[in-house]
Amino acid sequence: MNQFDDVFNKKLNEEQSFDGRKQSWFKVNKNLHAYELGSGVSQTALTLWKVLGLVAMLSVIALVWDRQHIIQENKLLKSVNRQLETTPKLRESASFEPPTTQQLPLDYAGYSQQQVEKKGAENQLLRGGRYAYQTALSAHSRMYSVVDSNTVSAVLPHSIKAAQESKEPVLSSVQVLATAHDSALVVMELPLLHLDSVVTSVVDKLDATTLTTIDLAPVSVVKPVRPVDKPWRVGVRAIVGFALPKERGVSAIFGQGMGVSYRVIKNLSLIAAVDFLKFDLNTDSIPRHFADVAPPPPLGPNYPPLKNIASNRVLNQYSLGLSYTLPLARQWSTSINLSHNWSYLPSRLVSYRFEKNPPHGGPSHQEDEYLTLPTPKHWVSNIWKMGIGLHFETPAWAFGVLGDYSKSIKQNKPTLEAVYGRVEAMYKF
Amino acid sequence: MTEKEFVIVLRGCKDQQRASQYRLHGLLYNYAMNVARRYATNTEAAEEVANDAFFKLFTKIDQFVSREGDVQAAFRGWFRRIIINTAIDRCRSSLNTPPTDEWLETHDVVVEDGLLERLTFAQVLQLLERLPPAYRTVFGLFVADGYSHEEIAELLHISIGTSKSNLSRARQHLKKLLSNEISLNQFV
Repeated sequence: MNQFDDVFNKKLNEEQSFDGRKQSWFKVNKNLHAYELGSGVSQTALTLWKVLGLVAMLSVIALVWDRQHIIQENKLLKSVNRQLETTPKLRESASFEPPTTQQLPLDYAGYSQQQVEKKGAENQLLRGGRYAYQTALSAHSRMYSVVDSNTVSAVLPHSIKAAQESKEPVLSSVQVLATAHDSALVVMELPLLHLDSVVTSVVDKLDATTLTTIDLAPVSVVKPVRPVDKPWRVGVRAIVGFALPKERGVSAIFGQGMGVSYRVIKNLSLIAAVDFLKFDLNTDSIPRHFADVAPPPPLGPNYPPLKNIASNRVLNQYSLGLSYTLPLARQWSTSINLSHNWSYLPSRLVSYRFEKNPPHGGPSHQEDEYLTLPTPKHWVSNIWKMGIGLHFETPAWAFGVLGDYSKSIKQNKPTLEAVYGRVEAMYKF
Repeated sequence: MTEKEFVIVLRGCKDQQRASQYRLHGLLYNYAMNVARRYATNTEAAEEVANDAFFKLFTKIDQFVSREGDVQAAFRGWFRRIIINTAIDRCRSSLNTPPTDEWLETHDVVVEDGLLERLTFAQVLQLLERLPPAYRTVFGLFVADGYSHEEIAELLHISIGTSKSNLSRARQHLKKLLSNEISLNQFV
């Protein structure tokens, strides 16, 4: 840059004073007002669409997850079924009668004769054999069968017991129980921890009553179909609320949150949640039920009258409570909820507009006066929420639509009274 | 305005608080007009550029991220880019119109020593106003706002060579205008 440029640079960057600032603000303010009027509705609609989109997305993820889970289980079941079908004798012996009498070998795998001769031992084995046989029949079409394997294990040799105690997730052994007939039951026992199940098949032409143990290669464990206890739930929710009673200048409350619950006893759960909410104030007087905004300080008798109070409020709610669930038909249930809330209102700016009136009426060309003050951050406790909900449950997920009424007690004045609606998706584990 | 006050005003503007917007408008109005005036042909056009720039500023203020250091200076730099882009968008069509033959003729003119220093801001603006938009814009971007030829070429969608050429012609014409004005005793 040469000297010529330097001089121009210096001259052009000297900040000058220009007229027309008020006219400029008048135009900018008008444009902003028009923009906000136009965008206010669209932003609200956009927020709603975002919430709906989020819910839809979560639902799709949940359904895909669930479907994948079922596909995986089906694959496993098919493979197990194929394994079972490779034992043709099972089908052929469908009419086989369960053994009526049993004898144990006199001295087998550490069992003494005295133990075997105990009266109760025979009965136990007999029960175990019958049970195992019935299980074998049902196992042909369905792998999962729960039996009281303790009765069978009572007569198992030490090696199998050890395998049981190790609770390794593998198929540990095959036990052959001979009968008085020409057939025998083959009892394949899985570790008690995982299945508590016995899968049996019938083997022909075993001579005498005997008890044999055959080691098998480890195979995958199939989960039982019985419902698994999942006391914990964690998930997200979208919230919309309205000041109640309806107050002019208080917008709808939008937000999102996270929740967790733990089922303490059968239908009673402990719930905890945190919600991040937003709403706008745009009014000509201090709202009664959302009165955390203070009136402006006295500005003198000749100050123009207050015409507008505007602020974007943020409300963080932390809740702890109880939920009682009442099952309805099929996968539907309803709940009654009660929670205590601690609300945190961070510091936000409040804009006060004072309108200058013309001295003798007529259109005003004077500029309005503005005052901006930050609100102090503060906590509000003793806010209680009561509500009901409708839930749809899948094995892994619970979806709910809930409504709550929020009311403050022990406050000097009504505070943050509102009705809230929310949709939630909770993962069960 | 202190840095702390400025940050509070910015926060208010991000919350679309009209009072904060009013304060920021008052704080930056002269600055906006100063920048806009370099690129606009007259005061009225500069006011329109400034108003549009303020509207963009208030509606896009969420995009400004204040870092450590001088927030006011950083914000002014960010706002200046808005003003320049607004001004260029308004006269983009005229930027691509080649200057007439009269303006293409250039010759070296010697400017009297000390004359430049005596020029006032208004006189400098008068000189710039008389330049074709293509020359004025490149001159303003390069000399007043410190853009490089690469940046100017990218911003105006012209080649680097055109940018350099326009700058050179702008200088020549300014010198010519200065010598003509001296002869007419306009500036002294």
